[in-house]
Amino acid sequence: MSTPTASPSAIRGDARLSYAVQAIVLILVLVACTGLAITLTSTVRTRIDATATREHQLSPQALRVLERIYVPVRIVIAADMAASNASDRLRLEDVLDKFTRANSRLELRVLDTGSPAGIEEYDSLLRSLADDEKAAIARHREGISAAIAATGQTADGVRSLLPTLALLGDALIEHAGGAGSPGAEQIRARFNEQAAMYRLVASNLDAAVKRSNEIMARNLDPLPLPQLDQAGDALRPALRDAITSLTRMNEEMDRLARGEIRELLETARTRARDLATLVAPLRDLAARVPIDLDALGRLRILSIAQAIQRTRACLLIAPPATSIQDAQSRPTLTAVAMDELLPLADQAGAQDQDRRFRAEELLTAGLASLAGGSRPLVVFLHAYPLRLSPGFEELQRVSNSIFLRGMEVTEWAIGLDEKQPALISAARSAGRPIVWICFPFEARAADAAPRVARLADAMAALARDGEAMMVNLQPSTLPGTGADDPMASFLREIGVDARTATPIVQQSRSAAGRWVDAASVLTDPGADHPISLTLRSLRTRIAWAVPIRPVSPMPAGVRIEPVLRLPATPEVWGESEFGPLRQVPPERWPDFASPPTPGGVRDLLGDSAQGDWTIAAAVTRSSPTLPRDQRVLIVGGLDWLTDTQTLAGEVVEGRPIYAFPGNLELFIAGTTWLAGQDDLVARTGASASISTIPSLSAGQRSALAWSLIAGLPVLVLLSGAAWRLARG
Amino acid sequence: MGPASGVHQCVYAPDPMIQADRVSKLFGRATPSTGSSRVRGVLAVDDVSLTIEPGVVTGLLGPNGAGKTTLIRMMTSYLTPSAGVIRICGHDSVLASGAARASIGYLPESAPVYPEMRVEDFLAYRARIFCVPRDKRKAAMDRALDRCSLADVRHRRIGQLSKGYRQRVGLAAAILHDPAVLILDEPSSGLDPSQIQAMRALVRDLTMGGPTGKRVVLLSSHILPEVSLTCDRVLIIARGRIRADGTPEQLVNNAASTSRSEYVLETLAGLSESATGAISAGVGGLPGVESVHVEVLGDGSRRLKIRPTAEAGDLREAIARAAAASAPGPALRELSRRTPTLEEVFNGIVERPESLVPASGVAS
Amino acid sequence: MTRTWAIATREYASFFRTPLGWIVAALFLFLSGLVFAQQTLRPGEPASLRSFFGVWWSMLVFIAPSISMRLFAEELRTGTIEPLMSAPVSEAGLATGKFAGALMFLMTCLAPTLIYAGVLEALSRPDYGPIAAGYLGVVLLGMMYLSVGLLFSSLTSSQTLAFMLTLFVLILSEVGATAAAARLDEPWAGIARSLSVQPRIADFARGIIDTGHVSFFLIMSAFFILSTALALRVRRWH
Repeated sequence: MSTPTASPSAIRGDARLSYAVQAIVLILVLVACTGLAITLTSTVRTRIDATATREHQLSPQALRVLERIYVPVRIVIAADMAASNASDRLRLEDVLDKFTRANSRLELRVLDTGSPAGIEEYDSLLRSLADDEKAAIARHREGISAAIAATGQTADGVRSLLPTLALLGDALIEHAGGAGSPGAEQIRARFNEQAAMYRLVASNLDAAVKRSNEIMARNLDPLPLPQLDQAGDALRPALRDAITSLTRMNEEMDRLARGEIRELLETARTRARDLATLVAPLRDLAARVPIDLDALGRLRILSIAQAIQRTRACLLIAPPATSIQDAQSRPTLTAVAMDELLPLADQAGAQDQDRRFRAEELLTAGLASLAGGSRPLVVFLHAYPLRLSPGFEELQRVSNSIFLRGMEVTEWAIGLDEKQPALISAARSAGRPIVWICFPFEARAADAAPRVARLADAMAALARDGEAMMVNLQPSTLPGTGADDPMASFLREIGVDARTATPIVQQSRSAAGRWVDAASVLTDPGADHPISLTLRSLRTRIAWAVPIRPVSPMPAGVRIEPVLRLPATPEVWGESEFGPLRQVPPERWPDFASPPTPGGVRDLLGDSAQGDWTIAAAVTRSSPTLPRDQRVLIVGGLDWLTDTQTLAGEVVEGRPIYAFPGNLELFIAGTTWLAGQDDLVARTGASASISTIPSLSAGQRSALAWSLIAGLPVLVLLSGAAWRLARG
Repeated sequence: MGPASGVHQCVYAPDPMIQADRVSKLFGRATPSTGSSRVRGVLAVDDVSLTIEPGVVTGLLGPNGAGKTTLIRMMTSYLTPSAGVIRICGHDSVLASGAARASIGYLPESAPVYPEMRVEDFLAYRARIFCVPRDKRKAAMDRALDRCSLADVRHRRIGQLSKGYRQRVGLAAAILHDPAVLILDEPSSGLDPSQIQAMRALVRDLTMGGPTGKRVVLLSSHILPEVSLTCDRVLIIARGRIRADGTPEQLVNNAASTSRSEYVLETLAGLSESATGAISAGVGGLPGVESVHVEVLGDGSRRLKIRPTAEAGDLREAIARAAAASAPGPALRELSRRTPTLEEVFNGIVERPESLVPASGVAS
Repeated sequence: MTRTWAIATREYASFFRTPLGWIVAALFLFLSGLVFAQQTLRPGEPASLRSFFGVWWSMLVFIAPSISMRLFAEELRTGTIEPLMSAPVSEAGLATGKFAGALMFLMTCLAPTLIYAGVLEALSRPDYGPIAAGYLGVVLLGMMYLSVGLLFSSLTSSQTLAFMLTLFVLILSEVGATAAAARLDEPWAGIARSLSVQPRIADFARGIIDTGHVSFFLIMSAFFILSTALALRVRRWH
């Protein structure tokens, strides 16, 4: 450029090059600034919850549980990430994020079992968990092997009785007049029958042993140990039969030996005595087995086995216990039902709306079980002629929910065991809170009478002794006949008059006509007891609700607070002639000659005149004889806590939702309150209220829909046309 | 002085003017290679330097594709020069592009406007773009509408207007903010003759105005009469370079003084071959005559085209004498000298590979 | 500023001067109404616009490009870009003005949907927090989409091409980010996930205003607007 004639094209080329460089630099700077700014703002971020209900913050209950976590807890989520919905995953991540944010002791670990490395990690985790409980597992193995051996011995013993039994039969035939006598055939037949029965008992025991051994031989995939508890449980039914049979034989032989049949031949008596001496130790051997099995207790890792799947689990792991006391007060491992926490992609869609709340509730419950403090024991007290445990069929949801909250669940089947299970006295001596869930029982059959009486006595005793109880009620025809209802009369001592003779029935009128129903469904608990507060805006359904009234005069030291209250209207009444109605479903009630109607005749006891209907009440009783205040929750219903009700779903426009979420909530809050864990009685995440679109008539709906779908756009187009016309 | 150093010079111009200093524009791609830059592409404007003064209408004349529009676009900052500096009223068109653009009123070729807008809406929008103060906006709009005779269509949508009106709307938008510099790219294209006449008058009129009372008006055209009738100064551009610069008369005179005239001689019809040959030889023998070309016309006469040498003066007398001397009797019916028209000058300049006309406006 | 605002208001008004603007608005309302009536206006559904916002973002993928396609492409086609770019407006001001005009139009399209909130109010007790947050999210998302459209509109004089390019990029980035997040390893998966707008908009719909999301949309919009300005500047160099 020294001369004016320097090639201009050289200059131009430089200028263009510098433009290109300038552009590239600008683009790079812009991209870098953007990246930096996004990184910065995504690191330093605040999440503001704009919802009125603060639904994106942890529920008060979760926060309280987190306050009580004083040991580091690992939350391990193992799942094949590709197999679940991205949105579910993110939602779960959100919830976990909230938890780990709220308590720094929580450590989150996510294993993607979709990859081989993840599966390897997951397996080694499970192995290390089994290692942690090595001692307990060994003890269990030993105990169960012993039980299996004892059961086998019992079977052999029962078989060895048979010859002696035959000899006794012969002696008796001889006594009856020899082989040809008319009685002889009868006796022979009877003894053959007996022998067959014992053979059956023996073979049942063998089968149980076989089954138990099978279970012991097989590891519970993916856990590196057999399902020890099932191996033990497999023995129980056969043993129960054996004990019953042996006990009966022992009694019979005793009778024979003691000479109750006076003219019995000496040979027969001797045989009977021989048999009795054989039977007694055998019975004791058999009877020992269930007690020993009970004493083994529940193996923690097995109790969560059902929640651990081949590739999926959510485990909450606290460090191993440091002392025996620590071990008793604080479980170190719990699991969360993975199918509910993070459903597989093909299961998604159901209850989408509630999943986040559900995740929070599940995790809260799991963490609560790891939190310190003595674990409450919940006892189902009933007089049914069967055992509910360990499956708690029909009560699965409620028992699982409290189990996952760190409570232990057991039962006292008073119809089968006259004495309280050993577990209860052990828990009592350990100072653990015990909560009794009482199921009323009414039976006409004569053989049930002792069970009913025992149940009534037990409940009365518990109430007297100041135990924490949840008393469920069902209608009874007994008061109508002038008798006392043994399932409710004991409540008078703690100031409660349960009107079991007049369950609540209500009617409603619609275009289709009058509709009468025995189910009370409440969305507003109508009371402000802490338990009631958890039920607000949740639907709670109690069928054949029994009205609860305070007695007058009120016993000293008793305070009764309503928990569920149904407003008094002319449409609600106490139906005294409910007997036949209970036998048939409500839709067939109009077939009755005199269908139920409100009014004085049926409302014999005049309950309707006494204001609102209390159908659940909380009683607090203080007395100098009691070490602490007694808490009793009385619920005027029975079926409300069954799976039928707690799992009842309805499909609202293609979307399944729980129909009566309040039922489970009532049980959880009630149990928690009874266990004295007042700070856990708070509304769980699951119950945050969501106001919904009310039902509209088809006409209304389509009018509204079409005016929005078509009306609004057409309006816009018309205004556009008008605008154009007006302005040219 | 290279253009790069010119960038840093701060020129204060009391009068509005357009200055271009060795401006080039290259379309296409530059491929840097070892040492020097090889350039590929089209050099649309090639090392142009010029100064355009206010108060007169300057015409930028050139055939299509000569680089007129590119040069204008660089002046209006729509394009950035590949090299060189343009200053509008002293503002660098790249470095002080905002100030430079603010002082320009620009009517692009074919006057692009928003057809869906109303005339007055469009003008109001342009007024806001040029930051005409709110209180002066109405007056400015009224003045522009008035000057461009648009008052009767101010409420009409531009899309409904004829081409001439649209052109005027563009012009109104260009003069709205009373710019110091007005650049019109092909202002009369697509107009009918009467509209062209009106446009000419308007353009001449527009040299008065702007902040200093004298305005730079630059218009481009590829139509010669338009420029010669409207402009006080004509710049002829061809193949990216300024080939000529001056008033239309100057250009012609220059051309007349520098370019060779031609002498045409026609013999009487029926003149003999030999007489014609003699005349041709006689004239051809004159000093200052370069060549003689004879052609036969339809009526039997001969036409001699006589091309003088560059240095020759007026040869009419000498030719007449030579012709009379070569042929007895009356032989001629016409003897004339042809001087080139502006058109021919233009064509000559445009077609010549390198300009021989010294461009008076070229800065050194 | 005055100039930017002048461009924005002219742009905004021009949407109403052409039938296209009205048709886009009506189409938007029609689709929104369909979603609202199908997803929300059902007995037992929560009285929120959550599902509605969840679907809206995918509608914006189509609506935003149809608004943004004409911003520059039209000017480039008709040549009006020339007086505009020789006017004393900076490239950034020009891009911002165009963007603001389009954003105002998008918000005008959104405005009638407030009727839906009114319907919810008439029928039930909606929670206005998530509704407000959802609208904020949609506007922010709209900003980002419009700015992407703005960039592509400045690169071509064909509106159709601008629309197709924008649509392609928006869909590809969303689908691609989701797919990449599922396949890549962690640091990259995180980056891919952060580019996906769906979870962000879902947060807004849930009633969470996350400053991270808000700044993401704002920064991305600014990025594309500045890129547009750069593209316009490069256009001068040619």
